Amino acid sequence: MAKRVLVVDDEMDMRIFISTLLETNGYKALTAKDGEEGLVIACSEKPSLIILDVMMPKESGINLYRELRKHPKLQGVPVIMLSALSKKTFFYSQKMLDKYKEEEIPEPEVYIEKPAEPEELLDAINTCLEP
Amino acid sequence: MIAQGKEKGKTQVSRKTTDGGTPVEESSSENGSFLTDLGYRAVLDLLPCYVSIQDAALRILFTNSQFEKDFGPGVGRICHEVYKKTAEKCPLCPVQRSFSDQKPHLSEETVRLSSGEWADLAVYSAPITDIFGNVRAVIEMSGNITKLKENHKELAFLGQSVAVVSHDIKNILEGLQGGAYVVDEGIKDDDMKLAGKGWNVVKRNIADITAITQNILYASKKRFSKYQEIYLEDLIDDVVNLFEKKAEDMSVNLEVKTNPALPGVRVDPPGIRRMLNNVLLNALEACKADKENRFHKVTVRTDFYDKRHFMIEVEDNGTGMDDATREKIFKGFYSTKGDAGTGLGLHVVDKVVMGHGGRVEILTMPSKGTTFRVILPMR
Repeated sequence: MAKRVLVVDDEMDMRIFISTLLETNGYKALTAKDGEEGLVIACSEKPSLIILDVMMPKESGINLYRELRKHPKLQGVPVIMLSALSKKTFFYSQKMLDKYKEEEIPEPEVYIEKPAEPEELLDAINTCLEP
Repeated sequence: MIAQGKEKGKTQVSRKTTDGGTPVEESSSENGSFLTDLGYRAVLDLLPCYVSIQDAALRILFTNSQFEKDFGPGVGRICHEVYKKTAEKCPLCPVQRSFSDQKPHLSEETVRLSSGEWADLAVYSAPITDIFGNVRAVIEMSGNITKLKENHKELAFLGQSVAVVSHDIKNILEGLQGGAYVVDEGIKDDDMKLAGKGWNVVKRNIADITAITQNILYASKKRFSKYQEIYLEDLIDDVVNLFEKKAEDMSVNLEVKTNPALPGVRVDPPGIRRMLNNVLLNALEACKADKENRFHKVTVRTDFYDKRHFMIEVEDNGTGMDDATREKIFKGFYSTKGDAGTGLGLHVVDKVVMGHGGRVEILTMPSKGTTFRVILPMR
């Protein structure tokens, strides 16, 4: 059975692009348009991988990422962060939140700055899903 | 006795020759004597700036004619009453500072001319001391920098627009690249449905970049409006038709209610079209962003406002705005949409409405929706 990958992005165009990339390469794509919806689908569908946009309305990718990592059933699911935010800024914000909330959240498996090349993203997906 | 004028006079009368010889009479006898004939008063009157002298009680002792021309007679009156038409002293007033530290000062002030117009001034103040070094009065010289400030604002606006717009275009390029990828995959697999899906992404992004480009052109160019008499109904139908598909995709019910009794109106059709485009887009996006209501509706209405004005209303039952947001939305580049907006849209709306001699009213309440009412003269 095809492995399921959840794409959480508020931009419909990005959801279409990434799900096409997934579907044409043998994966099953699930989509959510914000962090809140993402968490609901992640809980019910238990995907093998989550591709997460950082800046979204309602619940942001930053918050959802932290929630996923603390969730007993989802913390093992690899996450690819995909964002227009620079890698440095993202990791800095994570460190600050760690300090502020007095918790230690591990870094995501992959961080890709937008715009993402299809090959780069596909490589990352394949690597995360290697048996 | 006031020393400054005297000293100044002295320096002009004689000067040593460069070879250290005997002082000679300044060549003023040939070149500058007409100035002496003219008198200092006349020279001050010729200055293309405002000159006034105030005493410690801020009472005006002297003004030049440029001052009188723009502010009216000032001698004997309190300076802030004349310059700013206010009973309160100006905070950080350069004249008072020169009184207290005996030094010249510079500040920027916004004043009100007797015509009622506001003007920005660069104000220089310098103390006038007596022979004992006591400040007896302060001379104030101000240049009108209103035009300069406007240019400055335009430049800042352009600078900002480059930054905001590049970010936006980057997002759109990403959409175009993604869309092209989907089209390619569709063609590769002979899957026309997929290719069509990708093509829609491409088209959507082309529409976005078109809208941005038109707004930039509107915001940054001085364009001349071409007024002509039209029936509003036709123009509104045109614009609304463009949005029907988008509204359907967003599951928003888009409705038009025009008053058939409204006569032809004289407007700049491209301007009104641009304006309505932006207002409609905002209304649709306010619905999309709203997660509370299940049924979303946008209504475009035209009607008489009063005997001499008509109005175009766009009503939505989307997110609505709080007071703080409402205050800020007309500032160029303020956007509530984060990545999805440049904040240019309402700036353009404002520009078009102003150009028509109209005004905007906004009725809004958070989580209830917004009615955006544009009121324009019939002409």
